[in-house]
Amino acid sequence: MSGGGAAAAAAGPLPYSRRPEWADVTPVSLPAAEKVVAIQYTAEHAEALGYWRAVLQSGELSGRVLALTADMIRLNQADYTAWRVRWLCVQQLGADALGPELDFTHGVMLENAKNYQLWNHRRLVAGAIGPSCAAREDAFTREAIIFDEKNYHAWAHRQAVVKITGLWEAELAFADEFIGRDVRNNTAWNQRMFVWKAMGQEARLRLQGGGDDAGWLRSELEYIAAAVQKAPRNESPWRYLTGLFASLEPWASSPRSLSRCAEVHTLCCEALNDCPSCGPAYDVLALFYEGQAALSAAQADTAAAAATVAPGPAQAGVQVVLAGRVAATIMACELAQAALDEASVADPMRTPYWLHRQRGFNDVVALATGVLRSA
Amino acid sequence: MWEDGLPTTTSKTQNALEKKLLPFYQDLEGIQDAEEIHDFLVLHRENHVAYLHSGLGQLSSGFAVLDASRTWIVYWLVHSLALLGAPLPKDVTADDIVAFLQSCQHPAGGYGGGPMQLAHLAPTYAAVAAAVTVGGKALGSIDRAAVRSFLLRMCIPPEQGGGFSVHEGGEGDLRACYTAMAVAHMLGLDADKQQLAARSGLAGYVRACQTYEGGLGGEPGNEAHGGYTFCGVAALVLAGGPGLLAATLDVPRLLHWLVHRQGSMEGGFNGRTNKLVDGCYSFWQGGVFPLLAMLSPSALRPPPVPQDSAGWPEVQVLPAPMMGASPPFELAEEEMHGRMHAYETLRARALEASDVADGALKGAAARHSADKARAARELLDQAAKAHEAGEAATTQMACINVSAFNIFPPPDPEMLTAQEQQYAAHVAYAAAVAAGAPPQLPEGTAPPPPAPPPPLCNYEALQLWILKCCQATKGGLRDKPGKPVDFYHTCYCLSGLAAAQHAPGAAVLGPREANLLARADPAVNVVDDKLTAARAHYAARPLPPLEAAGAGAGGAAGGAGGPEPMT
Repeated sequence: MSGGGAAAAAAGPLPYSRRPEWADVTPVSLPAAEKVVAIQYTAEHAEALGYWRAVLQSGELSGRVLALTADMIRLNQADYTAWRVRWLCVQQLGADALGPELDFTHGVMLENAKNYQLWNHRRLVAGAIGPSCAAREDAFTREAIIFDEKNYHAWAHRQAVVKITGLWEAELAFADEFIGRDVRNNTAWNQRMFVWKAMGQEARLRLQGGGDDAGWLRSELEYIAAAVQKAPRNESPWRYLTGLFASLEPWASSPRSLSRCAEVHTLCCEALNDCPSCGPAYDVLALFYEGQAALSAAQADTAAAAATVAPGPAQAGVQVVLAGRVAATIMACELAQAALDEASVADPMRTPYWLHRQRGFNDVVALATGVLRSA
Repeated sequence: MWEDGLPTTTSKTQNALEKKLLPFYQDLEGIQDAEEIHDFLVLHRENHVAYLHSGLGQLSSGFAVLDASRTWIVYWLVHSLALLGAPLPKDVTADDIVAFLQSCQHPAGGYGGGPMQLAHLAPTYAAVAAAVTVGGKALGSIDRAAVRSFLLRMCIPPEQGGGFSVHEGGEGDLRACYTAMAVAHMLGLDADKQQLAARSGLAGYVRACQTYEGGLGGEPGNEAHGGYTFCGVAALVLAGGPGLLAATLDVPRLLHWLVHRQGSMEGGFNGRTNKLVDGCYSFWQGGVFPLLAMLSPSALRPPPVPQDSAGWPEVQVLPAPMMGASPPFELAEEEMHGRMHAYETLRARALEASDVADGALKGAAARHSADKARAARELLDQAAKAHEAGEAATTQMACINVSAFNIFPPPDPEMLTAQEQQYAAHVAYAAAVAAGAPPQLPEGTAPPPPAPPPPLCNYEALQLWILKCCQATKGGLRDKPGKPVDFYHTCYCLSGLAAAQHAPGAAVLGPREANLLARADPAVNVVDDKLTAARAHYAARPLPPLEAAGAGAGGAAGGAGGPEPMT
C-alpha cells in the first residue's frame, strides 16, 4: 500500500484515469497555460498532478491518497506538500501505518539521501515510535553514512535520535569508528563533540567511570594528540582542541581557559617537532599565548587596583607583582606575534587574517603599559 | 592538501580536485605584468545573460525535480540578470512573472514553490525577493498582511526549541530563521521584526547553532556549515543590526572558522572543514565578510579579560618551541626530491634483483630462481608505488606553484595597519558627529576621510576562482570544473563575485567595465536600488499594527493590507 502506487508493469504504471479506485475523482488542471519557468512534465507526471490537485482541493486523507503521495514523491522527492499530506494520512490511518513508512523512506533514501523532506519525515516517524526506534535508525543512517561519510542529514538525524534513546555511549563509538576510517572526517569529530556537550558534565564523568574534569580532559587530549600525530596538518583535531575549551563546561565559562592548560602548549610543541611547518599548530600556539597575554593583563589590572589601596609597607610587593604581570603580558604578545609570523609562512592564504590578529596586540600591550603608568 | 604520509578519503578527493584545477591556473603562469592578468579574467557577460534568458520560459521535463522550487528558479534568474544589469528576455514580461508569482501565493499567506503548493518559508523568500527585483507592479501583488501572519505562524516558541519551521509540520533550522527575517525586511515589516524575533527566541536559537568550530550548523549540535552560517549571521543583522550580531555570537571564533574555509590552491570557499570547495559558497561564506565588516575591528577580536575574572595563580608564560616554518613551495620541492630519490633507489635495486633472478633461472641454481623472482617482483611493486608517490609530489608542487595565494599574494602588512588606523579614526569621528559632539580639530586639519576596514580574506583569490574555474565560457556558472552549469550555481557564483567586488576594502578583478556587477544588499541579497525602491513603496503603505490586524489569530486573507488592486 505504501509502495509506488500501481505495480509498474512493463508498459509503465496504469494511468489514474483507468484505475477503478480513482473513478470518482475528476482531475483538476491549472486555469491557464503557464508561461514562466513552465516545466514540460512527462505525460505520467502531468496526469498524476491532475489527481493530486483534486485531492489537495478536497482535503481527503486516506489510503489511496497515501499511495498517491508515494507517486508524487517518486516523481519529485522534494515535493514537500506531498510529504506533508503523507504524514497527515499516516496520522489519520493510525499506528499501523507507521511501520511501512520505514520501508518507504528507506526506498527514497536509496534513490537520493540528500533531501530535507525525507529526513524530516523519517524524524517524525522515529519520534512517533519512540526509544524502540534505536536499532532501525542506527542501521538506516549507517547505510547512508557508509555511502557518503559526511552526509549532513544522516548525522543530524542520529543526533535527533540519540536525544530520544539516550544511547550516548554507542553514539560516541559510532563517531569514533568514522574518525578511525578517515581522521579528516570533520562531521564525525563534530558528532563526538555533540555527544559530550549534549550528555552534560555529570553523565560525561559517569561514562568515564568516575574521576574528575581534569582526568576527563587528560584522556581527551590524548585522543587529540594521537590524531594530530597521524596527520599534523589535519584541521579537524585542532578545531576540536580549541573547541573543547570554548564550548564545554567547566572550561567554557572561565575566560581563556585554554591558556591555563600547559598540555595544550605541549601538544603544539610536539606537533611542531614532528612537522615544523604545521600551520594549525602555530595558530593554536598563538591562541595559547594570546590568552596568556590577556590573562596577565587582567592580573596586572587587579594588581594595579590593589596598589591604590595597599598600605605603605605592602606597596613595594604589589608593585613587583604589577611589573611582573605587565612584563608577562608583553612577553606573551611577542611570542604570539612570532607564532603568527610562522603561520603566515606556512599558510599564506590566511595572511590577511593572521595580520588582523597581530594588529590586536597593540591594544593589549597599550592597556597593560597604561596600567603600569597610572599605578 | 598536505597528506602527512596518511592518505584518506578526504585527502584523496581533495588532491584529485587540485590536480583537476591545475591546467586552469597554469594558464596564468608566466604572466609577468600585473595588469596583463586582468585580460585573462573576463566575465562572459553576454553568454551568461543568454543562458539565464533560456531558463525563464519553458523548461524540460528534467526540471520536474525542481517543481517545488519554481519561485526559486525565478529568483535565481532575475537576481542574476539584475546583478548583470541585463533586462528580462523578450518572450517573458514582468507581467508574466507577476502572474506566476501570484499563482504560487497561498490564500493563508506566504508562497509555495509552485501553484497550489503549501506555503513554505524558503520559496516565500524566493518569491518576495524575485518580486522586489522585478519591482513595479510586482510590489503590489504581495498580500503583506497574509505573509506577516504566515511568518508569525511559523515561529517555534523558545520553550519548544525556538527558531522557525519552514512550513506547517516541516523542519526547523537556520534557513527558516533567515528567510523569515529577510521577507519581513524586504516587505518593510520593520515594526514586526521584534515580535518575530521574540516569538521565535531568535537570538538564543542562533546562538545555540554556533558550534565549537565557530561556524553555525543548521540546528543546535549540527556541524558548522557555510549555508547555515550565512543564514544565522544575516538573520541576526536583519533582526537587530550589527549590535545584535556582536552580542549574540562569538564573532572572533566565527571569523576564525570562516577564513579557514578559503582553499589555499583554489581561492574559493568550502562549506565545511575538510570538504571540497564549491562555487556557491563564494556567496554563502564570502558573503559573510561584508556583514562582519559592519562591526568594529575590536569586535572581531576577543575582548579583554575582565579585571576580576582572570583569577590566580600568576600566569607563567611558557617558553616558545623552535619555530621555523618553510614556505609551501620549498616544502613541496623538498618532498618531491625526496620521493623521486626514493623511487630511483628502489628502481635500481629492483633492476638489479631482476638481473639476479634471470641469472638464477639460467644457471645451476635454478631451484632458487623462484625465490629470487619473487623478491624482484616485490621490489618492482615497491618501486611502482614509490613512482606513484613521486608523481603525486610533483603534482602537488605544480599545484602550489600556481596556487591562488601565489597568483594573488597578500598585501603589505604596514599598509594594512595604516588602513586600520585610518578606518578607526574615521569611525570614531563619525560616531562623535552622530552623537552631536564633533571633536575640535586643530586649525587647518581636515576630518579623517572615509576609509574601508582592512580585508580579512583574500578577495582577489575568490574572484580568480569564480572567473577561472566556475565560469563556463559558453555561459552559466557551476559548482566546480567537471560539473554542469545550473541556475542555482549561476546565481550564487555571481552573488559571491558581486560580494567580493563590493566588499569594503576589495577591488574588482579583471576589466572593470566587463566584470563589475551591481551591488546587492549583503543581508537579503537583492540588488541595492531594487530593495530601496521596494522598502520605500511599502513604507508609504504601512500595515496596521499587529494587534489591530489580529494577525496572531491566523486570519489573514483579504482585509486591510491585502494585495493592492491590480490595474
